Amino acid sequence: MTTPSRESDLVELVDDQGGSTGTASVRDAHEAPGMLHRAFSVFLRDPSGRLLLQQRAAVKTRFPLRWGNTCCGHPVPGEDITVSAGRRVAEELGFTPEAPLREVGVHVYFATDPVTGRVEREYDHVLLGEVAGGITFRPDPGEVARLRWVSIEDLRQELAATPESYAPWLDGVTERLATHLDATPSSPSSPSAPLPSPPSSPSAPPSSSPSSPSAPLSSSPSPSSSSAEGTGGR
Amino acid sequence: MRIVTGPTDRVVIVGAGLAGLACALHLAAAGRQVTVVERESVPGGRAGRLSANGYEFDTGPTVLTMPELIAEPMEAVGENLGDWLELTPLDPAYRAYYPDGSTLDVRTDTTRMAAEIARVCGAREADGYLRFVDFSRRLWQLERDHFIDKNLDTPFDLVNLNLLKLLGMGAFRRLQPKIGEYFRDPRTQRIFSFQAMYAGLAPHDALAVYAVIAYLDSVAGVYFPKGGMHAVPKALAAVAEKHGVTFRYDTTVERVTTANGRATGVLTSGGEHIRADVVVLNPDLPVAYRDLLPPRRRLRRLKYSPSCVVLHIGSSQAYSKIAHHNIHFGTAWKGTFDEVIRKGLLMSDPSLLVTNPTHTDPTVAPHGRQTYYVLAPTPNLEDGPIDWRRGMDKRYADELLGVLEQRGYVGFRDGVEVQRIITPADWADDGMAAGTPFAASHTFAQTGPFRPSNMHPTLPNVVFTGSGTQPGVGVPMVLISGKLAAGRITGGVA
Repeated sequence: MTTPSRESDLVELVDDQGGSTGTASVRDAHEAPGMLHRAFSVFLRDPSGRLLLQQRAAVKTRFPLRWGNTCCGHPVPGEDITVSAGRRVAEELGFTPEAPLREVGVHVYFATDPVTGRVEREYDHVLLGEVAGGITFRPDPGEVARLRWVSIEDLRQELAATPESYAPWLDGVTERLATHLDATPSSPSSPSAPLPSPPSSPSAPPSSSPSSPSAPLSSSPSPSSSSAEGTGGR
Repeated sequence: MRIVTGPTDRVVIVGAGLAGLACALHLAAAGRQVTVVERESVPGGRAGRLSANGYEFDTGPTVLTMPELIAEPMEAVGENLGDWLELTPLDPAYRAYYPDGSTLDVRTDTTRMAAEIARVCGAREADGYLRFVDFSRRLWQLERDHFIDKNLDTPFDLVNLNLLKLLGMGAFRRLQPKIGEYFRDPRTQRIFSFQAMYAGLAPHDALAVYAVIAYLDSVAGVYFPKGGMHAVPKALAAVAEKHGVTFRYDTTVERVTTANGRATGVLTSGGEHIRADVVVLNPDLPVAYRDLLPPRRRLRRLKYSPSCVVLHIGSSQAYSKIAHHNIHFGTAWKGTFDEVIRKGLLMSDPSLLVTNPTHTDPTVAPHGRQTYYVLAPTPNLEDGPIDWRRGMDKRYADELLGVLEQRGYVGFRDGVEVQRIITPADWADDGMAAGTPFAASHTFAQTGPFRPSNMHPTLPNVVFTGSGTQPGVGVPMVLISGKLAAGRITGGVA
């Protein structure tokens, strides 16, 4: 089973405030020096507060077999980001969340892949979805090697201990989520199961991730006419 | 045929791989003074040995076919294979496992194999198998006598009546449709065409001439030497030593020395100059050109075979239902070849070879323990630039263990006592071009007279041997390449 090439799909280019400035193909947006574009990173969370992680499939072109958040991708230009993300969750995990996804923060990051020479400059909307316990997922083996649930405390410790096992954006999006959860200590969908709140101070700087210098984009994006086709995965 | 000019009395062979050893024996038989210089402390090259916690692992090839090709260099010096190696025929040669849950035992006794195919796939399929055996046997005989076991200098060396015979047999059409003429069941099609991967190609891209690989391992017989595959180079080296060949182990050659357009010997990393009339190079051919020989302006660009990840596992878990060699086919077939060869990706639905040497020879593990050799095809480092360091090796090994547990190796992880992971990065570190142990692929443009020659284009007394030159990759081919290299020096064979 192989994934169709998404290189010609369109992504939405943005300025450093997240305002739309046009579109470009996935290929062009990831060629050095890269163009800042809109993306999403979804976390699904169960009633006990654990987060769902996916191990990226071996067959992926980028970061195969590394662990990432539940699912991520690029929204179709012009579409509501939670709609694009919900569809992507359904495609990758074989499961459609009932409650809508909520945006909990933005992680702007820049990363280069030394192996492929491709560049990531993403304006990454971090989305959270609350789900019931005991769900059966049917992940697409072309996308996902494995799934596992982990508490946010354990995840932060593992990220610090073995960063090379994780996708480079996971640290940043996890910190955004942690900041959000610190500000709203109880989980709205499961008041009976209070989230074990991490002992971190709420005054911690929001950009504690080493891989997230939110450098403003200097290269000028090339706007082209937007055509809605397929949600690009990352 | 081109032969080495000038004196040929003293020969230095760099590398005690199977080809270098076979070459040494043929040269000793022809009265040459032979010195083999080897980087490691044991012979074998790719057919090496890894010892850990009482487990002995073969690091290279695990499937041994055509023992007569091991016997040949021994007989050249008047020795008998049976006095030096104890070979056990494997029955079945392979057990194949298919995604639908069925299994098929590959038996080399054609009558019993026909019965097995009739049991699993029906009588008509068995009839096709018997026709395939006839076809592939004739193919092997023709190819061996007239094209493989022969030094080829130009394509015109191929032009003889036998070429017409091969053409008439459809040997230059594609393998996949040729296999389709004999087999209708996808399971038998796979078992008689997956070997194209050894030649570096998908069955739909390979020439039908490569049906000979299927013939060699599915019809001619698969053997296991007592003590493991490493017993083969050990035996060849012992015979060579007995017949006067000098071995210099733990000695790395820095470069070939030259003067007046000829090689004069080799320089070791210890600064010693070993003089020679002729130098034979057994390292991977592109690496020999790159590291050992004077720089050349225009190096030929080669297309390489896919590589593999190998897991060496020492385990407390035994599985009574498996055979010595087990092939686990994934659901995808053409897609798997596309992923690994064309797209340079890891397999989404892996097909794996699992060899269980202790199944046949319990002495290669501590008492009551098992050894497993798990081979997963992967892209080579040119087709799939995967960073195998920084934990990727362990992550992929873990993925493969998960696949094995799903395919029926219940409790496989829990049984692991020793694990060694070999990735394309390790093959590259060991001196294999593009990080693949399978050398340049056998496309038409890299086969026969079109494969890199075993003679240096300008240095008249430098000869190559091994899988990177003619005739090609695999234990049978490299043993023949040792003889062909010797023939360039003595003018004696073919």
